[in-house]
Amino acid sequence: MLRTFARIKTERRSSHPLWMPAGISVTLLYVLFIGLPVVAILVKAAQQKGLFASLLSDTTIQALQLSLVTSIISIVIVVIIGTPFALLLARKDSLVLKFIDSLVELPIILPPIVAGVAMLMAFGRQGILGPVLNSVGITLPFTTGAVICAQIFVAAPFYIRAAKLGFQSVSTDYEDVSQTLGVSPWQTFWKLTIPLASPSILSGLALAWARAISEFGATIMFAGNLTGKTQTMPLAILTAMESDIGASLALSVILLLASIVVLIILGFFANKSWRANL
Amino acid sequence: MLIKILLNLLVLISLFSASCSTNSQHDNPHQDLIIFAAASLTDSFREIANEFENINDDVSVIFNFAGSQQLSTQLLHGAYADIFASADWIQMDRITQSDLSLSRPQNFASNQLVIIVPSENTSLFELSELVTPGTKVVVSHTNVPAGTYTNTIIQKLGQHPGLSESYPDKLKQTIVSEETNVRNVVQKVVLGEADAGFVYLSDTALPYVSEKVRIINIPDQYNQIANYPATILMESESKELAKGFMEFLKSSKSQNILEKYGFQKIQDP
Repeated sequence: MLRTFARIKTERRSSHPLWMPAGISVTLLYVLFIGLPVVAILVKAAQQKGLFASLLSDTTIQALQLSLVTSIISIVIVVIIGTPFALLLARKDSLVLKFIDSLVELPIILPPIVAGVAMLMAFGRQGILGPVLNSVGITLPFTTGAVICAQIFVAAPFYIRAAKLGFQSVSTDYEDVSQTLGVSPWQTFWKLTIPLASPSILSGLALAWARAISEFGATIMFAGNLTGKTQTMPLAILTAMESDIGASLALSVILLLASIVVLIILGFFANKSWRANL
Repeated sequence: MLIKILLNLLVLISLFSASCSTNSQHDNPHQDLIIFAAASLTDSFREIANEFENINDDVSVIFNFAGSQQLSTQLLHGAYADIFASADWIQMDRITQSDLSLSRPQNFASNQLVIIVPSENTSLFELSELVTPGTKVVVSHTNVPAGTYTNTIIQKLGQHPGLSESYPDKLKQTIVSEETNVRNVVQKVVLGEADAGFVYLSDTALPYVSEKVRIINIPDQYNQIANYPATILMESESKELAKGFMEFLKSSKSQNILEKYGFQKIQDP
């Protein structure tokens, strides 16, 4: 019975190559739908008079600087905290960890603006942790620290998830063998586990960085919008969109190019890990 | 089979384009009136629209509330609306200069600015105390009408006999955020995250705001009168209905609603 069913299924698939033209036309439509806006930004930016002046304006440069500095700090913190955490999630198996594991992924599906509201309610001056933070002299809202917090909140899951998968792909047998051969656990981790897991880790890093630099909703809620202090590139794009389309386009082009670079890096590592698995 | 799929695709596409088109009024007596209105008008305009719908059968008023500069940008880039109600003339002028306005825009209300402080704040009662180091002041970005007014007011306060000449500069040092919409300024003060915010008097008439904040008044000679102009847009497909709404906006019913929400009525010409 099962076998007949399987045969019918394969027959069906092979006897309808007519799906192909439809598939191709839908794909073409989709490529246009995604590609045209991307091309449009570049074309419109190229036509824009004074694009370079916009690129070199104070607001643009400060937003760029701030985005670069904050996203790099965020990513460093994410790696320092996320790596041991991901290793723990990959190696140990318990109900509590399973629960934490799914909690980690929450910020991925949470609308960023909700993340912003949640962060205000938790770490704001009137938030749950506000009095504690106040008593040690820390107020987060409207500071560059708040920008970094928002970025970590939304970006960390991408890194932790990828790093966990990377560590899971390294069999503990290798680690055991390495240690029976007298290599210390620490050295095993650095010389064996990390290199083997590195394609995953690095692609997670690229994704997390891209997410951090494009963070918008949580930042505008939690950190506000002040040039040079909390106004990152996405916020500057929104603010500029309302008066100076040129500046807005210039910033968009920069973010677009950065995204393309991230994609290329991701493609490179995906290719590498694919080969490594051969 | 292929033909069938392509036919289905065609039907889907035509359905999609039909639902996208705004031109569906011909065979339907129901009319939509699309109004782009400044964020500060949110509550008063909702109430006015309810009244307007009550006296006009089969009319739905659809709103797009945002910062006036956002709305004018959207309109300049081809967004469709029947009426544009702006919080200042700068944004309205962008529309008239691009010949998007059907006729001369007209003021329908005015507003002024005040400073709000969270009620639980125990140290901030006077204008002079705004510049105490560590105070967190939130304003609107100068792209936004409220931000332009705020900026002018801060400059003018330098001439206040009770304040020092360096007051404007010191005040700018305490600004921690320039929000893209005046309602965001209100939120940050209501939440207690900011110590003070420059907002419209009308914003403080809302119950959820008045319960949570107290007001520091800005003396008239340093304040800015914010005139709210509205106009029918050239591309409107329901110009008669739009005219009706513009008339209704000046009626005593609408004017009373606006006054209830903290706006000043327009003087009859």
